[in-house]
Amino acid sequence: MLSVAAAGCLLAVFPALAHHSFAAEYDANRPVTLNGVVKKFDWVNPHSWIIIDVQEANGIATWECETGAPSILRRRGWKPSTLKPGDEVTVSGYGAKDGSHTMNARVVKTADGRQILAGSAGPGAPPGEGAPPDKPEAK
Amino acid sequence: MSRFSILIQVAACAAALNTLPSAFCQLKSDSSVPRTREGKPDLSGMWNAPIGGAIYDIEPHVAVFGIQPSDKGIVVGGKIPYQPWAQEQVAKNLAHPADDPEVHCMMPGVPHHLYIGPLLLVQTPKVITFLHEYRHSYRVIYMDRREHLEDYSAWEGDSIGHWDGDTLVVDVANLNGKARLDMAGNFYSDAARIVERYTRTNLNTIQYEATIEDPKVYTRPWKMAFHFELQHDMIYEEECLEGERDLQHYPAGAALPDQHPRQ
Repeated sequence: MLSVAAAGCLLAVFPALAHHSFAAEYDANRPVTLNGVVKKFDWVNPHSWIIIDVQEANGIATWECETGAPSILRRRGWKPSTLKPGDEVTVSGYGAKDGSHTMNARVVKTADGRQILAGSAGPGAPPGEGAPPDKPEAK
Repeated sequence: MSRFSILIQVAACAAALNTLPSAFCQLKSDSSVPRTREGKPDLSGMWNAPIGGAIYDIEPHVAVFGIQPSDKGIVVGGKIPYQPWAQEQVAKNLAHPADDPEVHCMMPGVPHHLYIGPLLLVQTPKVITFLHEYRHSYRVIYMDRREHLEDYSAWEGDSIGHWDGDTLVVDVANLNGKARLDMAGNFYSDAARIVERYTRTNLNTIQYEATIEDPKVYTRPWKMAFHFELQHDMIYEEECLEGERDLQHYPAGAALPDQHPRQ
């Protein structure tokens, strides 16, 4: 498998969010960071989705976190088995404009300290948080 | 040919693009480019066009937080020569992102498909095939046919090609006019004709130029130019329908913010 570092070099130029514009769906002024438990990792096109259960004030809320396409994820070191149901994760990104429990995921941190780019930072998305970490690490 | 002389060649051509026919601007393949048994440059391989923020808007544009990164664009001369009604249509397209065929998993069209993801190019004397990762789709360029199909219409039209020196020239017609050129609403109609020029100037580079003509939409033909870089990778499956969940989150009737500054 490609290392994440190598994939980062290859993929820096590949479009990450070609299917739709960021601004049409997500709000750059609504940064969201969630701590939750993976319910399902849906490795599908045109974008993969991480479904997580998050403890909120009124009980458990299920959030859908959009990532890049499987091709983009693979080039960044992801595999379908990277996240499993029950894994604790912290997902950072931007919330949907419609106020639903939907977000554009930028970075996923796992309980064992891995930090992985979610590959969804596409045209129009704010810079910064989606920038590659200093020492990316793939499982 | 040295890298410097290639740069000079490309720069001279870029300067000439707006004023001279392409015949005056003949790019050549250097000795690093493999050739087929017939002596033509072999364009086979996996390619990607690193156009950056132009994937959002092919015209030059400044950055707007949360909407778009800045980019110099890929339109030669910077501005698409729209007729007044068409310029208004661009604004309408931008204001209604849910109408963008891309969001509905439609084909991106020509030349949009070339800069929206990598492609695997397979070259034979009679057909040249683009295997696009994006949309898990293909385009076939017929090298042994001189006439376009009669009474036919398609998202990516009908492509017939020939060689002009080291340059592959592709004439695209029979376009249905439904595709857009980017996410900023730029478009052409079913009257569009596109002439593409692909020149593998060295082992790692294909220079691309397209002349787009559409009497219904533009006041004159205009050109687009960018380059492809050779990739040492593979094509993955990227169909669209299975996991499409974005459209349901587009606010009903909502439009993108009005400001869409152009340079």
